[in-house]
Amino acid sequence: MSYEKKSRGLAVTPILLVLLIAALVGAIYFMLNSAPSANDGAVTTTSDQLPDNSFSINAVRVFDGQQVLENQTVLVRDGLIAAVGQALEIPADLQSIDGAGKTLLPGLIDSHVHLFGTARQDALRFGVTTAIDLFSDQSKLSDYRASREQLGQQNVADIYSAGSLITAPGGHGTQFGIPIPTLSNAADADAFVAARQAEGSDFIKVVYENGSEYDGSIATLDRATLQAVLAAARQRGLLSIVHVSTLEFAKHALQAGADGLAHVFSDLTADQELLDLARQHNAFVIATLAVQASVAGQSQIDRWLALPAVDQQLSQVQRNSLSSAFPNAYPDVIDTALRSVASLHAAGVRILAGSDAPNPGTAHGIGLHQELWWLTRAGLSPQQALRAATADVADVFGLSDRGRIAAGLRADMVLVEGNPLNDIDATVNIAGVWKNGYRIVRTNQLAAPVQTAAAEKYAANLLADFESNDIGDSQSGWQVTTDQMLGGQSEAVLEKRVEELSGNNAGDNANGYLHVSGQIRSGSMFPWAGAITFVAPEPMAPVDASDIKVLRFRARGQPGDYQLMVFSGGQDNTMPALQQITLGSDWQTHEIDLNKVGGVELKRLKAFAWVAGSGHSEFVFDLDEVELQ
Amino acid sequence: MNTLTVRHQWAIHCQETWSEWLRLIRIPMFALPTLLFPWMFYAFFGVMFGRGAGNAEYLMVSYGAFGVIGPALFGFGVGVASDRQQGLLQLKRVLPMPMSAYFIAKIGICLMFSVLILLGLACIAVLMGGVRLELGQWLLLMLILLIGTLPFCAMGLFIGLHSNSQSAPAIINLLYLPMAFLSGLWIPVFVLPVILQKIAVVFPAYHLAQLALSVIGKHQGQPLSGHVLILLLYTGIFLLLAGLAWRRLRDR
Repeated sequence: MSYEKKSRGLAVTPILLVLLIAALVGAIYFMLNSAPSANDGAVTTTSDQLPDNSFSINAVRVFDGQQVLENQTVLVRDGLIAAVGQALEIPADLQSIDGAGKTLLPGLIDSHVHLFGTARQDALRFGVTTAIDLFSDQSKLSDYRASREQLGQQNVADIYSAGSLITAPGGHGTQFGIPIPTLSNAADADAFVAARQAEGSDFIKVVYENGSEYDGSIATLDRATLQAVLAAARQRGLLSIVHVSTLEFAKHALQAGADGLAHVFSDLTADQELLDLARQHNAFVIATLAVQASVAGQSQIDRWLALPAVDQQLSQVQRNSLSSAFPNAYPDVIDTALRSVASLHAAGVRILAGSDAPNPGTAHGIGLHQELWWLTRAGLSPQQALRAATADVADVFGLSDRGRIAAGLRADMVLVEGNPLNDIDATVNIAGVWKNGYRIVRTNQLAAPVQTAAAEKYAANLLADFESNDIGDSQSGWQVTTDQMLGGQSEAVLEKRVEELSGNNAGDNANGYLHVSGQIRSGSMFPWAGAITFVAPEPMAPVDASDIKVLRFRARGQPGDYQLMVFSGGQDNTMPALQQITLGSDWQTHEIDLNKVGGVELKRLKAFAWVAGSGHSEFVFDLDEVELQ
Repeated sequence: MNTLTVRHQWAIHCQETWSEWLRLIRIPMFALPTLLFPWMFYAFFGVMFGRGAGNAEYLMVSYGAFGVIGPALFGFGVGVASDRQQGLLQLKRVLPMPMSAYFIAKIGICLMFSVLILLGLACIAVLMGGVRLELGQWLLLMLILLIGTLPFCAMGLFIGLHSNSQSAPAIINLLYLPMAFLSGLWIPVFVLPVILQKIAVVFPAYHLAQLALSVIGKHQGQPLSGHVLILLLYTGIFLLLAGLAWRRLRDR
């Protein structure tokens, strides 16, 4: 080999090397951008489309938790508020929402609820993105924690919870038929508080109540035990909230170092001694006026039921809870409570908005709006009332990622029509609720069936051959559905695919199809994950489809049993009808006679979902040519 | 050199391959882990602890990729390094044997080990995991994974030419094991945190796994040509780098 040849080779090799490396970097960059986005639960669509948790709201009035800012732009990126300001440049790729004439509030925080049933969904539908639970089932505490720490899509409110409460044997809190641990003497106080902390309580709720206010007598912690409990909580760094009903007991609690009261007392109006104590200890008071009004037999439910925006969003459970009443009315309670809140507020004591839902006369979600109105009746301005349901709660409970509209915080927000800073009733005129930057689907709970005139529309809508690029369209297209809405952890990803590797039986010319893949994880009573499509353009709106008989679709999948869920009926929380479908690895046409699926109400047809259930772990199936006939 | 007939050439290549095979199969430190680890890992994580046939199928493919990368990296990396250190490489170069026989033998052995690994995995998958694929899928999978060893042979060669027999196994393990994990060969890539999923795209092992997974329709949906291109580029780059090192060695 000549030297000439060798030296030329040596000169060329590094150049070639640099070229190849440049090509490699380019190729990797390309692949990175064509990688499907992996946001939890998000609908995966084409690569250049931003996920739903990035958007901007323009020309909107912002109540940031403390101040009112006019004509603002709010940028949300990946579920977090990226910027708030007046002359912000809006990136062209960002979906923008017109906020003119509307007011953007931080996601509301209800400082006093008891979780039950569908509380977390019901709260969120009314803009309550976080709730402070003052006693419920302590076994859920770790779920609450996991849920509020993640930034994925969820349609339930986040929860901070006291877990089980601290009460005497036979005391208030033991009457609900759920066995709870009780505390009988001061010596055990520290161990008892430690047990709550070990269970995962975010703070403690102490019951100091002898029933005297309500013509009764019930067992209560004695004063020494109360002091021991509060001392233990202080030492362990836990916030303490004490339930009291009387002025005297409120003073005892504050003297013992309570951080806050779970209710305003209602036997007597606050006196100077109490005001001094509260100020001195920098204590807060969760007013719970809505429930006090209900105790007084003056819940004024018709006020709220008369508002169409409320009426439409109340589930049957909320409606029942609102319309029920306490067995006995104590008419003086609300006036005393209002006067006390007024003087506490005037004295500079921090008042927080809490509904005590689902006590009679209140309900999850709407309860906080009732409370906001009652607070204005006690003399708070609408702005002060809203602070009591946003930034002030966040400050008291140390929630640094929420409660305000500011850059870097979680995009939990409520957009309302009008200006609640002038008229507090405007808080119920909700134009949009975002949780973790994802817009919540708010279904009209009263929705009457769409008239048959719209029938052609839905037929055209549902007929999906996956040839056009339509699966990610949030209006009429296909979406992910998983058990995450019931606290599960299963996941699914939708993807429009075109038949490529296997040439066999791709169908005529039609070779686009919906590819559904995901993972079933335990953690929910009924695990599921898959794809859902709505019959009406609006999600979960019922359509009169009585002229329809058959649902036909082509499918294949990892061989096994899957479920077809058929959603129908007038109420939001109706369980879907289930039809088992068996898929094989080859395409097969399935015909479902909808009249034979038990529990389908064709007059109010809402949605179809194809899902994998508890028998699966990781699953894959494909859908094509879905039509109704 | 031109005096060798085709028949001679063939015989030399076969001889060299056979002796390479004998050499490696007699080093349990190479043969056992390379064969047993993929089988064991797959049997444990893919079949016994994973639930459902979907996992077994997915992981059979990803452990297949894990399996074939091993002999390529170790066979070439450690093999070349120790040949070089013991002077065997120099000896072979002065022999009238064409140098291609040396490389063909190494590639051939790497493929033989790969076939053994894949057959073992397939047996576990079919017998214990209930995995069922069409004949065409089995063959295509085998083909992709065998051809897919080439970039790793090139990487192994590059490492072998730059390290000695003591350091080569360490270097290769440092590369091989994290790369396998980050490319989603042990647990599916979509289970990894999003940031790791993004990082995965850098590794050739990810692209090989994605190509192989496309046979069972479980790839992540990026263009297949992109995976092929990146694997080719990796092969080219490491071959060039190895070529430079080889020339330095020769000129010395």
